[in-house]
Amino acid sequence: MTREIGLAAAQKRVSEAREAGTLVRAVRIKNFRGIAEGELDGLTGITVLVGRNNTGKSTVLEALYLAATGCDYDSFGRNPLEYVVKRRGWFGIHSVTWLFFMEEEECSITIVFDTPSERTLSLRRVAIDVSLLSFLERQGLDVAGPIAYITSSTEGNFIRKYGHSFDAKGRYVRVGLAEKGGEPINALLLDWELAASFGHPEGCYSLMMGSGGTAAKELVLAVLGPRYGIKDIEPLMLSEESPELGRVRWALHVIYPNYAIPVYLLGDGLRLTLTYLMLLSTASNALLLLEEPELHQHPGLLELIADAIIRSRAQRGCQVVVSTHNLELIDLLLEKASELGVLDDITVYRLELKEGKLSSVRYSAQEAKELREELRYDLRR
Amino acid sequence: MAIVAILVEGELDHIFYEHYIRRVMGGQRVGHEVLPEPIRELLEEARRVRFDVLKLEDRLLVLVRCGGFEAMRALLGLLLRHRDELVREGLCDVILVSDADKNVRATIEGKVGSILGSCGWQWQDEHAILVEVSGRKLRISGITHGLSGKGRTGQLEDLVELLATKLYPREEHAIRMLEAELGRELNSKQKASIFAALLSKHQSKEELVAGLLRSAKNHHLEQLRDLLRELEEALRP
Repeated sequence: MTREIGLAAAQKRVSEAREAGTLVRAVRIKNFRGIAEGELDGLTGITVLVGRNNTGKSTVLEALYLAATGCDYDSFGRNPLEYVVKRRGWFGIHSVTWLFFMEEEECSITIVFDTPSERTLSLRRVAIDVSLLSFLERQGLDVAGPIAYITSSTEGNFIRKYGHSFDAKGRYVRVGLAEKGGEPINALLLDWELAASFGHPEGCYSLMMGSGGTAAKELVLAVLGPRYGIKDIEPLMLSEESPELGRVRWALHVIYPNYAIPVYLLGDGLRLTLTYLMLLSTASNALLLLEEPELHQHPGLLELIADAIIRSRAQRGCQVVVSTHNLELIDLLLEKASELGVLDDITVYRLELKEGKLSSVRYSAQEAKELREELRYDLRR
Repeated sequence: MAIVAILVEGELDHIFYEHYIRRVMGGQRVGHEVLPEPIRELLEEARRVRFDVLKLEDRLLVLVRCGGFEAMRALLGLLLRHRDELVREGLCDVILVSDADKNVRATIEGKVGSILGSCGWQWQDEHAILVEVSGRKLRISGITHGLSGKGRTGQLEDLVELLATKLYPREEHAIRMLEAELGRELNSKQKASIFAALLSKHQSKEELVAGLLRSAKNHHLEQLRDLLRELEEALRP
């Protein structure tokens, strides 16, 4: 009975979220990273990207992230362009030129909304204006060496123009170039490197409470609680011995019905998953871009991630685009969406990239489920 | 080389048609590697599916065991989703073979309609739909096997039992005696199971079918050919 009520409530929340949220329906990419040309049309509340390595999954996520934010800051305070340039490693200013397909000097990303409206981000490699050099030097860039300079211009229902400078060591400065207009989209690109980079879950907890509040914490507890019997997560002072270290020490604890243990004592998998879930839960009414959430995951923990993805859509009104190589994750998403009666809110795209041309095969969730159940078809092919 | 995919439901159908195409139609079994990679990979990634490739004149026939009617429907959907790539590689015909009690025509129409909408396809005749794929045509047809009448099930076992009756009159007589003893007529499925129990080493219908088609005389095969006229017509270029 309780389960039925919970299910009905969840279904209601999903339909409300679908009515309230603005969805990105399509993305068109030109000359960005390995994609010379490509389009994905018909994105839904949860879009799953599959395909072999080097078929453009990460590039599509990065494209969505940049175009949605217009290279403005994301909710973690990250500069999206700097993050995208450096997330695959810093290899000198080549890392900047690799944003463009085959040495091109311009690329564009257009995202189309269901409202309907659209926005286009254009990135251009241009020669730096010498008058800017002294400013960049004051900002800490080594202007004696090479400087990569690109401009970003977002037009449509959101207007932003920036100049982005990188020196050879990867130091970065952004300059606003024009008036701003339009409403930004809260977009978040989340991968395991980010989760791991937080090191201490305490910082992650602060971020979650600061930007997501109790609703974010409720999501984490709803996912973790039933499986692990966790009642709460709280920062608590460590035991009496700790003050001997010279200062009061606080640590994030998981609270069970009769006891609490610090998060740092949890197993690696669960601790990292908790961090990931806290980061994921910060997003509300956002475009949530998840890259291979299955990494480092035991299948049991993967179920938590699938649950969190569905809840991010259902309870937090997010549109989720997730790239994956994992069939179990796809099956779990289809299963959980089916349970909630929201199967039509999921779409699976199998991407292919040949000589820079991105193509895709789009499966509705119903089809994907049928192929998995009837043929055990490997959608990632 | 033109490629024809023949989708059948189960193991029994697979064995029957594999033997039939070789023994009756003169097809030759060839390795999977002769298939273009995209077609081969697509079928291999459907883990529940098994397939054989046969060469018949200037065509490659891919005989696919889907694992049930619903799976056959799902596989048709998969082929349609990947039609551009598959047709480019030579796929020109998809033939769904099912029991006579299934509405294969409605199944094809439903699947094509759900994936292509109302454009880009049309009925060629009462059995086949033509799908337009980048200037080429993909024909999708449905045929049924099985017989109608008393004691018939509308399934492949009707043909199996018919052939077994011709080839093994003693066993057929024993089955008639059993019917008389029981005071009721057995259907073809029950009889095929009894033939299998009496004649095949492991009491399997699949083994029975393979044995029957191996040892059938030409006039038996001609009779079978008359009953499977639809398949030969569907395979005609």
